[in-house]
Amino acid sequence: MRIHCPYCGERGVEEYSYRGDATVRRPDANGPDALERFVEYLHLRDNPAGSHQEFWQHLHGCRAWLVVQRDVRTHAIESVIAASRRVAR
Amino acid sequence: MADLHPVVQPLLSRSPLDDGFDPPGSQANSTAPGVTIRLVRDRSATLIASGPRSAAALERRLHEALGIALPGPGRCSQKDGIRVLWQGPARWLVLAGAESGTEERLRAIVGRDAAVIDQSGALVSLHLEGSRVRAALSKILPIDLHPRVFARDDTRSTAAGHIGIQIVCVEDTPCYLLLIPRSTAPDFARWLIASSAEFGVGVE
Amino acid sequence: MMTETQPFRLATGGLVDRAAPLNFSFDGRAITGFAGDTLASALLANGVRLVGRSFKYHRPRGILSAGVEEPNALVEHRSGSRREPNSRATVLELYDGLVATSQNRWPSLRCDLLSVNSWVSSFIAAGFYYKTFMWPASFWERIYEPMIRRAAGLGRTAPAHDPDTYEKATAFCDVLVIGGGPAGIAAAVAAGRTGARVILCDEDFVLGGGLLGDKADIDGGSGVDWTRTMAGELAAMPEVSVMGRTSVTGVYDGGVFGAVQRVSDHLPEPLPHQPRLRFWRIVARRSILAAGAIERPIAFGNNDRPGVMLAGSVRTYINRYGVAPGRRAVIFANNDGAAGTLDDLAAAGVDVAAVVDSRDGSSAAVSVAAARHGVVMHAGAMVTQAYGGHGLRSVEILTSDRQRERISCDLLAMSGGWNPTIHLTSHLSGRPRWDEAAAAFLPGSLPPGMTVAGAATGNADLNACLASGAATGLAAAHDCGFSGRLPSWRGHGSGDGQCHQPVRPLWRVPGARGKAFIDFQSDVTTDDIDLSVREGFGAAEHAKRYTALGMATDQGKTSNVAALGILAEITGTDIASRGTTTFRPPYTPVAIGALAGHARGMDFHPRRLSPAHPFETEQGAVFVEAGAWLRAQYYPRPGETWLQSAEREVRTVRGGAGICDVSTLGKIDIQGPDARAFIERIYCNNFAGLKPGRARYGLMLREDGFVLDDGVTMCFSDTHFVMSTTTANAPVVMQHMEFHHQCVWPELDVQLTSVTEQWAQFSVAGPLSRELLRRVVDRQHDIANEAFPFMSAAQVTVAGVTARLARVSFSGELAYEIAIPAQYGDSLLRELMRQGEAFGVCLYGTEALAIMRIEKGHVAGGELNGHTTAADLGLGKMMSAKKDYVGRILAQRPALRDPERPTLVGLLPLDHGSQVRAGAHLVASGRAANLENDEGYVTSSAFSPMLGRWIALGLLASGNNRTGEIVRACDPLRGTESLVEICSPQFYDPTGERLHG
Repeated sequence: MRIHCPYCGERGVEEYSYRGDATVRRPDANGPDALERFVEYLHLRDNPAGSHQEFWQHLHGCRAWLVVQRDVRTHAIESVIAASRRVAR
Repeated sequence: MADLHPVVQPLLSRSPLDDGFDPPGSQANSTAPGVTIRLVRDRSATLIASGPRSAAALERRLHEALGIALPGPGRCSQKDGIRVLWQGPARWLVLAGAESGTEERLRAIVGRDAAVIDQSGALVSLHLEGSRVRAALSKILPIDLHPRVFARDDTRSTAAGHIGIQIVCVEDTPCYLLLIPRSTAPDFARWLIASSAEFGVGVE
Repeated sequence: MMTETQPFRLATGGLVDRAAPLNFSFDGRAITGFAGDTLASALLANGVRLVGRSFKYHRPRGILSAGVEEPNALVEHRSGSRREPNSRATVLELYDGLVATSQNRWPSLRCDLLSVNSWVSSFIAAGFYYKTFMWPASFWERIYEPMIRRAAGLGRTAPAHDPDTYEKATAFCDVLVIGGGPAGIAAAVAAGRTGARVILCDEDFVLGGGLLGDKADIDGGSGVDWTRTMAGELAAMPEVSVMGRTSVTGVYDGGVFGAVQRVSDHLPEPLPHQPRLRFWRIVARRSILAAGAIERPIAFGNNDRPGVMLAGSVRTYINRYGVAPGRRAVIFANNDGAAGTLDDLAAAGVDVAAVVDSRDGSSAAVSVAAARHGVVMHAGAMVTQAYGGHGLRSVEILTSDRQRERISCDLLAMSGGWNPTIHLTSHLSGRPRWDEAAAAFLPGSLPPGMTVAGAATGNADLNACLASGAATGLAAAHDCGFSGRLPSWRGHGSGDGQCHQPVRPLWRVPGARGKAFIDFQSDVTTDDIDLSVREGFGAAEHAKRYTALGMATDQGKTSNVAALGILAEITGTDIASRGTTTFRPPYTPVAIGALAGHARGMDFHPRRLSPAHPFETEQGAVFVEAGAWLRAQYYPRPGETWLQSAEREVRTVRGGAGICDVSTLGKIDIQGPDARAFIERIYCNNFAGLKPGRARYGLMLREDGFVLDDGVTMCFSDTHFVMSTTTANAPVVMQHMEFHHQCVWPELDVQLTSVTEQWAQFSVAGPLSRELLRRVVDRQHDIANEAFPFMSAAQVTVAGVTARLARVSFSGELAYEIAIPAQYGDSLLRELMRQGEAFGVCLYGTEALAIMRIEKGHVAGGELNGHTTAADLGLGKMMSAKKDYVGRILAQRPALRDPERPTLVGLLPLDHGSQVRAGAHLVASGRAANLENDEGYVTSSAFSPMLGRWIALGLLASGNNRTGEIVRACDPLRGTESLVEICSPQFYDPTGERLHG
């Protein structure tokens, strides 16, 4: 698989490190139900057979964390953006 | 107790490739080499790392002080023996001569706009050229080095096997500069020489 | 027409170099061939037709084909450590001195004792091993398994270490052309002329593909001449690379292809500095599959006799190698290829006894050819059986009016049609589709960016091949932004007209007697497929695995499709709806060495060496692998065991001074206005109050509340910290922090930089450590006890060179860590040792380091094992209640606060001389040693020189409350057990006075 890093261009997947679902956000530690929210944050995932938003780090490159939109059935990558540039939900 | 050695001896700077990087019986120093490798000594490397808020101010200050514009992704810029390589978002590596004071000088220029971190000890620099250098590098680097996509003043960070390296295209002849982590330099050099052997390799 | 020394070599013709004879041997017999031969063509030239024994039945086998699809002619060649089994004689390039032997027979090919298997064949049909070897159970290990092991397998590996080297490389191009026949060459030329970067891969050692076996002409010249001219043009194009002897083995995501280049595999020994094989990863924006087609055999009785060959391959032996594979031939086909086969056999002087065409309707092309050559033609007829043991002697045919006739012959050229070579199109889950008109599987969905040209499309007409090659080549270049004119050539080949005649498949001849083989290599017959369906395994995937069809080294290239056809016939369904089994990489076998490349032996993984490695080596260090690093483990003096060395080093440190290289520990530079805020969120303990010039031990949790790592962090200013991590976790912690900086808290203004490689770092420890450092650190820096108390950190200089000094202690002694830029590391260590001579200083390694930290109850890797919380390790009080940090919330989960969780304890064996080892499990005394009673385990152990006995750290349920209790430490893996007393983990200097000396 090849992933297009927005800074470095298209590179082989071996330059990257995969982390997982990028739709989850670290909950407010001071909020109500923080414990349940953190358990969900850590352990509960949707598992779509299709387009998936996920974190990858361009480890052997610019070390930028990226948010990749990828179809997990075909491996086709729809978009890649830098995580730090993501608009906050 | 007796003061046996009262005076501290000067510390010597040492490269991990000081013992020569052609193992005995190797293929180095052939007469018409397709690949020539030279260890670059006496160079400093200083990292400048900034954040998005200070990036604009940083660029202004460096431009005023050094006359160099900070390069964008995958590029490097140079002036008067100083080369600035892009390394990541808001991170640049400044290569200069080994005269002491580069780090302090840069720190004085950038002030609070960036972190200035010496990396001279962390990196080993190799200069590569020759008619077959791209063929040799195709066995080590997984990136496209064709002049259409990688030309003078381009730079890439990638992985050679498990080793993170940075390559700069210095000339279109081609000539390349390779920056390698110190700890893996001996094993990397051995691999580079083995990959170049079929083309004839010369080591300077 | 035949020559004397090579009785079946034609006097003229072929692409072999008759001026370059080569001597080789097969099964000990000395034979001669020519440069340009394969082993198979040279054997046939010499009349050698028996080349092997089949896998299961040990039936005599001959050469079936002329290509990679060969299932029978597998030989062993080369000798000693280079010996290689299972090489296909049909693609093995002949070289002078080649020594080849047949396989799977004993004692000889002619007289193979295991051919008795044929006699009991009805008992060893497909799947027999699922129903046998079960009783009596005691026979399995002693009798059945050894027997099966001896009989199983094909070929034998070399007895010694492979002396050759292998390489891997990466290539990039705009257009990758797979296959160097007419379509592939046309595509490469069309694309190459536009200036696009083109790679043409061809598995053969001569470019030309189907043109080499055919008497084709293009633009007035021979097909072979055209190939040479085009090859010359391609060689002159700087952006075109023609890779011969290169098989594209797989298609992967993202336009990535795997290919094996046989750099020197065709030579007896590689040239200096040449690898044997090179594995390429080719990244292509567009690709063209021009891999041609493979001919289908027909299943009839004893169709595996030596002398039964594929018709197209017979033509290849005649036209490319100048060899007639027999003297008297019968042609058996269901397509017009029979006409060209007849022409070529006649031209080679082979007596053609009959043409047997299974089609009822008169085929004009074939009957005209038969009439022209005066050869008997049987339309609507089929060969039902072949006769002959070690070589074909005759065949029986069934004519259209149900008459049986015997025809004597030594060669049967059979053709059941052609299967386009489309395996690569389905490596990314594409499914081929059955095309009725072509009577073949054609590509279904294609990998992104791939188009198909030539015979692989199902149309083998030469003009169509040239045109589709040129068109796809130009279109692919155009897609990459290059333009040019469409080249065109006019050609005339034997494949012409094939497409116009509808072909009805003939998978097997009805009413055939004797074994009718589908998969020659796995010895699978039509009866086996019938059996498979009867037993309920009628689906393609089941039948494959039940019968082993398609699972041998040829991966069913001549059998997969026929099996699907027969399954369809048996079950009365249509082949289109049955689906195929899944093709996966590699298309042809790949040596494991090619996949390893350079990464073998010492080069398997690059070693990371400390800056002081040279000096440590001079001092006789024994090194140990710590992840990718080499670390000095101990420095033996003559006559010492490792334990004695470690003991000596500990005593020297605790009694005087010692130096340990700790350069490998991770060091992360953290700077910026929000540096402190960021560190506060990463460590569980308070860093808000850490002042410049001070250092603090930090404990880092994972978000699930378990301990991730620990280390000391130095504060140089409110906006500048340097964090240290354990050696193993340095990359993990860096990634952990970068993730939280960029993805969780991107609003924080902080810069993280790994400086592990930048600094060499040494621990200087012991009561005399300050004195030693006074001699090395420049005088203006005051390191007296009051000026530089415990946990101080400062920038200093050594001989004018910037350095960093921290007063931290892992050993529990008065100790410091001094860091200097790595290029001075070796020199600094030498100077420290030189200055330390006066103090009797020694170097100490990781063994002594571990002993001392265990004596002090400091946790390290054995305890930071990913299963422990801060509270488990006695560090619960470090967890701040005043701030948010990674892991805070989930560390509060009830199970992580259970007071009965295993917590850190010290363990002292009651018997002073006995050792308790890490991994032993702790059980209350008087209880049985089983899982139910398991209360914890030993995490680290060492022999303590200071206590004179073995000590250990461990985790024990409710450990805090059980001091003084005696428990059992059970080690069933090593078969030992001992009684241990629970005590405080601080075995030595429990009040910590020595730190503040």
